[in-house]
Amino acid sequence: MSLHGRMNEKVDMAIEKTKKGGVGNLFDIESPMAIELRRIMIQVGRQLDLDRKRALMITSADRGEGKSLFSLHFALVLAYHLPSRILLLDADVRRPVQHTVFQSKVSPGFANLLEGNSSVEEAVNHTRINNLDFMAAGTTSGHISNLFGANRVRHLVEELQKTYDIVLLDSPPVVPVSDPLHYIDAVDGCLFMVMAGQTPKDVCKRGVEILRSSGANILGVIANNLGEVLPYYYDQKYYGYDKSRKKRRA
Amino acid sequence: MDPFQDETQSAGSGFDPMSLLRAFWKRKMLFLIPFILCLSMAVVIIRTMTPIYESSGQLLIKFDSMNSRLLQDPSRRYGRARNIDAVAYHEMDMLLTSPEFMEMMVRELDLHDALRETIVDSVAVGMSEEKSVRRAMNHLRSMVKIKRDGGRLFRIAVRDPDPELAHKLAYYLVDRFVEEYRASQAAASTSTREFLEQRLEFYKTDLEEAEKALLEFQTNQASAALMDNPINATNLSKAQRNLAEVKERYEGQDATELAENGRIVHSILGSAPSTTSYSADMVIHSTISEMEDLGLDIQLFEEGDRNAVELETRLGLLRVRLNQRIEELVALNMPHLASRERNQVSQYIYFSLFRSGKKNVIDRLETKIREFRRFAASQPGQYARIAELQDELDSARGLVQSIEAEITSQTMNIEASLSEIGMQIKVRQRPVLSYNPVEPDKMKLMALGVILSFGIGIGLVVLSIFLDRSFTTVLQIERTLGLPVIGTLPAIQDDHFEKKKKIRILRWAAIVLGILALGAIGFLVIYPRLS
Repeated sequence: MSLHGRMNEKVDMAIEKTKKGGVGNLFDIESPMAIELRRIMIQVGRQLDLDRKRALMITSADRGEGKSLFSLHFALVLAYHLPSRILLLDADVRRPVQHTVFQSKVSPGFANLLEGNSSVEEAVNHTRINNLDFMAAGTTSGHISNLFGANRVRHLVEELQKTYDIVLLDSPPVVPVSDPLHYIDAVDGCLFMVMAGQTPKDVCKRGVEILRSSGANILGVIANNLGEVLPYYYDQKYYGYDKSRKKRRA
Repeated sequence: MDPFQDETQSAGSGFDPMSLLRAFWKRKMLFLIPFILCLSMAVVIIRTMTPIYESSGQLLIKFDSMNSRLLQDPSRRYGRARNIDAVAYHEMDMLLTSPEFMEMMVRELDLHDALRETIVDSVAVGMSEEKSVRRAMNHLRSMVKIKRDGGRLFRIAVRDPDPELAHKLAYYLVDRFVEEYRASQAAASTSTREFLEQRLEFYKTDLEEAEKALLEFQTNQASAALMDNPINATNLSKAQRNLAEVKERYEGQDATELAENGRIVHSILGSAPSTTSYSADMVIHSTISEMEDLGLDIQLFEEGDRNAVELETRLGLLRVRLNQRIEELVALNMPHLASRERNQVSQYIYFSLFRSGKKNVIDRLETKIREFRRFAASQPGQYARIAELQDELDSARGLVQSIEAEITSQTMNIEASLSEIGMQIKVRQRPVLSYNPVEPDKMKLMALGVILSFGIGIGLVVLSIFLDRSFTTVLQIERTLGLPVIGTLPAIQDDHFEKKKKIRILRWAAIVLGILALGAIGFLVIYPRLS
């Protein structure tokens, strides 16, 4: 994956707008995207009481199904709507992404904490949003597979939950790598991303089977890219909330 | 509000036309791009191709049978099973594209020199005449084509980038072709005739030999009595039958008629007139002896025989001549008699002379038959040999006669095929000078482009739909994975994704354009060679 550098500007812009009290693109209460993210938040909230301390894992069957972008947006929405302290944790050590969004270094981060080379304070980056912090993926000198032994992830998440109410783990895909299986014990639930019109059905099925056989609590599936597969579903005109049209009428 | 409500409702029906339409709509570019590319390719071809002009003349062919009655066309045995148009087409095509005709055209028009002038490369300069002629022939063959217009109509078309050259060439070719075709058709009859003539010679020799053999045998082997005896084994019974008939008539009907006539004449003249003075007359004498010969011959022919009819005619003429002569003499000798009486007298004289002639015939025939029978009885070996020779002679004569008749009909055929009225091929329409190019055929190419692009586009879309193994609806996801879908996201709008998408589109466009460019180059190289 290449850099998501421009994403940061976007987040900044959104934050600026939020600070001003205006309604930014991302947090436009009427935008289909915001509606969907809130819906997901509410659905998750019904299954897991988000007032309590929670850890959520976002995963998918294959690469490029929009886990990282969803995690980021979901974290922003949670931070906007909830009073809780939220940590976005880039748990994909193999292909880290989130640090590029926040334009920070990749280490120290998650992997360094697991190895015990770093402290939580060093690894956490503060964002401009008060109740949202971010932790990069980090690096390891050894083999990545050796990082996750002996419930290390669970212990780490428990430690992080001392500070944060909700920890979001942006995890790797389940079919190509086995890392996410180590996170299952550490989290309260999984969100499974499916890129519609792209990921083959069998691969998705296999991913879900892997998670289930590991005893994961799959909260639900998030279908991505449906706007592309089913045009007009997310067209604002479809909902009758097209502001430009209203303006024209006026 | 659930945006997928309609989907849940239609889930039971299994097939959702809307989702199919959406799937099509999603892949609209897959259809549009080949469509636009194919059409633009067709436009490029139409713009860049050198226009080719065609000039053609129409020919009408007649299929009257030219075949000999003796040498029958084997195909006729199977009725009209063969398509005459197709046969004629192949015949014409074979003639038009035959190396002989092509070379003739090239040499007559000096096309090889023209070709040598147009090609100024080193190969052409050192080209031998033979080679240049062969090249010109190939070139000419690629320009000329026979087309079937149906209903016995054919078209000789010449194509060239130069419309005037095409016209001139077509004009010349049509005329020369018609000549060649007629000549080839006449050649068939001529060869039949030649063959028949050759056979005729052969059979004539046979006939002569048979005649000679018979004559020799009769002169040398058989007795002198048979020398000029017209009686032979085949006509013997006929002769005997005829003799009996004639004899009966001579003694019965003829005798009573003459007696009656004689009584009338007796009452006119008082006495029967002498016939000797009349039979002494030179004209009458020769006529009667001629009639006797004929009368003898006529008994030996079968009824309906051509020669017998001829003899009968001659005999009739002789009778008229005899009658006239007798009337003249009677008028001269007895001027005092009335014309009716003169008629009676001359009739009586004619009748008695004729009767005496008949008597002679009977006598001669009897003698001949007797001689022949005596010979046959005394010399059975020789008799058999004569009969054999006679058979040979008869069959040889029959063959020669039928071949002569066939040759006459073939000669008529040849003359007919060479004449304007009976010719087998006609120019129905002369080539016209046309400045409207036939190639590139805009309509054809555009239609081809549209059909091809439709086919490719729809094919690609259908293929991509069939090969799509991903989820397209929420329902599918829920059913397959057995999990609730708690959220549906549009493609997250992001510059990064936009850029990736653009790169993807550009990459595909480059690939498609590359394929298209290769296709266009290939087409421009191959197409001119095809036509």
